[in-house]
Amino acid sequence: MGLSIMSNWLRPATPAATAPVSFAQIYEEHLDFVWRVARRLGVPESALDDAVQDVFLVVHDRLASFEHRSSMRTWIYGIVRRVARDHRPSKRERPLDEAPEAPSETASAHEGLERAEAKRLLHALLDTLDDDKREVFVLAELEEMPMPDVAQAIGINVNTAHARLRAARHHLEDALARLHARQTWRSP
Amino acid sequence: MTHPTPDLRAVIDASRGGDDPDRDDRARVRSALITKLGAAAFVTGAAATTTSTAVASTVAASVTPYLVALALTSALGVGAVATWRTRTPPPARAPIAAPHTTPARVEPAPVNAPSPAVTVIAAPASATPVDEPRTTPRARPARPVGEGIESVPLEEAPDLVAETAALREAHVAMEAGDPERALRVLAGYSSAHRGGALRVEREAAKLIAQCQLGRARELEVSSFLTHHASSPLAARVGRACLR
Repeated sequence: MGLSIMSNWLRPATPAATAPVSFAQIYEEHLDFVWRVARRLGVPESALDDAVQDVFLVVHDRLASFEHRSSMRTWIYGIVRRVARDHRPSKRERPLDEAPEAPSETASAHEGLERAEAKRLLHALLDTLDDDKREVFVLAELEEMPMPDVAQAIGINVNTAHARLRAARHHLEDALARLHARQTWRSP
Repeated sequence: MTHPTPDLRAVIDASRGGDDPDRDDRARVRSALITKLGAAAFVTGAAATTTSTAVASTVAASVTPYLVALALTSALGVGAVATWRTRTPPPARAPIAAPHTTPARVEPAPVNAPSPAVTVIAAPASATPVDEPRTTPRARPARPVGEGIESVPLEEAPDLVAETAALREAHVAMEAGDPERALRVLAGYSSAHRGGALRVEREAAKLIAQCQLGRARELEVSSFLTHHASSPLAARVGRACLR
């Protein structure tokens, strides 16, 4: 753990800057984030309800001890990643062959269908990443969280976070290129 | 710093918003949390807030929800709110450590009496328009905490409270092996109220109760499973009815 991260953890809370926040407000503000991230960290659709509920039950239980040393979103992410670990099926190597095909021209005729296809493809691609790269990619690329926040949320230094993001992109681009090559070969 | 190739960028952009919860998802999660935490957890106001300056002590943490529930009960004349809290403690869960926390300091925290102006977050069905555009988090303007929370006049709040209470009572009846009573509760609510934020949940509960009694109509079950195929409710109805 880098020194900058340690100093963040050791820095005393700054109470004056924080406004009162109720559970209800936090729920409204962060439900979408929790839902999306849990799904993208590999919680299956069928377990998503329970996982999201578990996250907010923990938030409710622990809110009184939140000291604003990190942002609320970063704090909540820490809970999401633990809950997601409990709710996702054991990882197996899934060849991208099993993944749905990339959006086709036919599919793109319908925006909703295209997005559903893209979503399935994205999940299949994410499933090929290891957990370390996956969470950096989800937070930095998909949630567009600033890299210092990503590093803090995961508990790594910023350089490591950048390196994991680069590695994740390379991995996904290779996987996508292979998929396209296979589709081209199958349908001359 | 490199950027994603156009191919990868296209996949990312095309899936934007695809993982957001929809209206049914929001209603389900909210309903389940109200059942587990009590409606008081979804009430905003002085008594329901926490600050870093006054980390709630154990006493305050346990007393405040009761005060809020009591205020709601007396204001709305709904007794169910207080009884949820006492009758249904949250289910035992494996402890999940929250990050960045230290043990709560034992300091006398102010216990604020609930404000008479109680704000209840609107049911997701009304708070979130179906057509609300879903954009990337960065494109979305930063929302201050509290935005999206709609103040509901006190006289309108009992609908959600009553609907949740009816749903919970139906589930309790089914768990107690009395699906007949569950159906009576659901029918009683439906006859008095049209629509509702938890209509799909009530429909699912009704089908499950009917299936437990062996009275479900195949057409109704298959229609529900078709229309809510991606919903976890469909899995529950399927488990109860397709055995």
